Amino acid sequence: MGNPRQLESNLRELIGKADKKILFDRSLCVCCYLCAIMCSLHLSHVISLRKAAINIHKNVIEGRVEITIDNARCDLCAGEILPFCVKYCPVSALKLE
Amino acid sequence: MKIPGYGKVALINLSNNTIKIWETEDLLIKYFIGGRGLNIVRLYKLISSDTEPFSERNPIILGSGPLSVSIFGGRVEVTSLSPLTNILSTGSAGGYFGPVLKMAGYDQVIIIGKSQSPIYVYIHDEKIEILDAKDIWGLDTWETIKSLRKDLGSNLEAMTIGPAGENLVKISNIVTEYGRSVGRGGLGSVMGWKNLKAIAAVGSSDVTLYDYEKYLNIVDEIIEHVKRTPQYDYMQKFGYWAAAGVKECQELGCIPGYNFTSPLIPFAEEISTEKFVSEYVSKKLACYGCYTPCDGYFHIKAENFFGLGIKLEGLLGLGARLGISDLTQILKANILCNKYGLDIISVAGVLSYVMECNQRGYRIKGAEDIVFGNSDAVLEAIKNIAFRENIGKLLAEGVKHLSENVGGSTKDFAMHVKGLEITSIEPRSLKGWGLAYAVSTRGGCHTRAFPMIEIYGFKDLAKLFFGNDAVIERLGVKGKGKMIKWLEDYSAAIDSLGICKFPPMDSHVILPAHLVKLYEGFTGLKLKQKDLLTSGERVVNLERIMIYRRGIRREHDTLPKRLIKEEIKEGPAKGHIIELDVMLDEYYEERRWNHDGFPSDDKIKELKLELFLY
Repeated sequence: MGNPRQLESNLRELIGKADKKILFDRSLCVCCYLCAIMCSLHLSHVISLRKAAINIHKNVIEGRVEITIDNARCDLCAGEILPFCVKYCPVSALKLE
Repeated sequence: MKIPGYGKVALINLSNNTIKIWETEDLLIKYFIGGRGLNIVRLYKLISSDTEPFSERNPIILGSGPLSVSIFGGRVEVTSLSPLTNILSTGSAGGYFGPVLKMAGYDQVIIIGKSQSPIYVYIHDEKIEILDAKDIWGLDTWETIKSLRKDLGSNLEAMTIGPAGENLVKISNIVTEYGRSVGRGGLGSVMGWKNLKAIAAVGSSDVTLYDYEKYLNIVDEIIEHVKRTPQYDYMQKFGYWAAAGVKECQELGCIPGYNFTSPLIPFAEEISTEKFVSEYVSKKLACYGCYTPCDGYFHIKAENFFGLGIKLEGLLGLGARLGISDLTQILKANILCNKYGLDIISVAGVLSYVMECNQRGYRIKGAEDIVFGNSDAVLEAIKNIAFRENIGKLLAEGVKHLSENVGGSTKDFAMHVKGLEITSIEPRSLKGWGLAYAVSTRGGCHTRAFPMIEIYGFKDLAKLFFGNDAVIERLGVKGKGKMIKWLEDYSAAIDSLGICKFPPMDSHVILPAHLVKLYEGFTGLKLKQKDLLTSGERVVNLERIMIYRRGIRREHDTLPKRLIKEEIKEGPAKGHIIELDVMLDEYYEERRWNHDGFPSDDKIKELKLELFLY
């Protein structure tokens, strides 16, 4: 038995994500920032909303949210079976398709 | 070496505009973790037994825990002396401020002194400025945050006061992100007295982790566990966790209807959580780092009226407790409190008392319209309280003061403990809640022990936590002392970590074992479950010592006469009162406190508290 995350990484090699991209549904987003938190952890091994490739701009008092993804920096979480923003979103507002 | 998850402390003196900054001390981290733990150490050190809440010496302390930026985190703890109770006020808010404070590099910001004119504190990364607040003084909490964001950027977070805090209302609070509040016991007025309109923060520093792989593994383990719980299924179907909603409280007979005279109400469906979610909420919302969202945005277009979600306290307090069945009116009252910066629980406590006085023929001049069911009078009264106008001058002092003014037997139904209005759950149907209200270190409040387990009846968890499941029997008294002690310690530890209390103590989807692993992965510091609870116990005991030194004794660990003398009229607990003395004896024994309510010498030694009792 290995590290579960290592096993995930190996599985990724079998599945591949090359021709897919991240899609999001703003209406579902709850503004928890878990996508950005986990994104920055993947990219930089630190928590930093500034260093995340995904950005959430909340306007809770109008019930609105904007999501942007910097495709130049997003590597779809290379080494992981799923991009972290998709994996950790609690309301399935993000998908890999 | 800097410990991951930790940063600096800033001491800001508004009287002479000085700022002192230092690294959080390792010794304090070891014994008190962070957040609520570190806050009580600072408060204890800065005040003496006769420090006035409205004085330059009384600090307002904001603390982010080591896990505030983590998944499941998101909290900020605010601590000060309460002008309402003259003892401790400490509480935690969600939203985004706690994480941003940590991202700016701070574990704690301590504000003492008093400014001569309105100001706000602006923290942007490690830089701290004291800026003129003339233009925002007088604005409500929503207008304040909007104005600050317009001037300083949309990524700014702030803790703000509204008119209630400015007008030194003793049931005012502090509001962040429109609907998240903190500071029961009038902490809005502590800021108002200091001429401190807001504490605003922008944080863009990196927060490092001790062990990236280990942290991710434990996060995955916790999420897997969360998803396996039946509570998570419920959340997925219903939208969010609200098992102890109004309807469920009706089944248990723990509704505070008509100032705790009716444990069952005829309009439970009309003010239910389900009705709010299905008919009003148009968008779910969460705090920073939350995996189990519990907030909702609503917009009633016909009235151009909108806001963030109401919680059980709002539904029961501004609805059942006041005899109001119109959910839209309840939401309006809730939003008004948030905008003005008023504590919803205390507002409900004050107004329900006035309503019962009117019903019983005790005349309070100028309050004749405030009768059960009159929602327009409630909206008017909320405004009057916030601006200290008309009858609001008297109501702004809280229910204890008010009942001393009205006099007679009305004190028997002034529902407060140690001067703080009690939470809107009827404790004669949930005996542990009664004990929790009586011994809470900030007065009548449920969140020190947060005994939701007694409501839900999670037997397996009771065995895991307390060694047996009989203690969560709702109408029993045996074992409640042990249960409340354990829950208070756990709750204090969670508040110290900066974690939201809902997943570990409400929906119970996170266990103590998860928390210690998360802490270790994040900070690299070893923490056994036993040590986590001991840290919480240390916090509770230091808080107790602090309030003891301000005159609190066993005789103050009591409840309103109604709860210990009047039998409950109907429902599953019909005929019950709260047998407080029996539970208190057991609680004191479990705590190893002397008959006066002071920790025994061996308890102080065991907790190594003598190191901090300078």
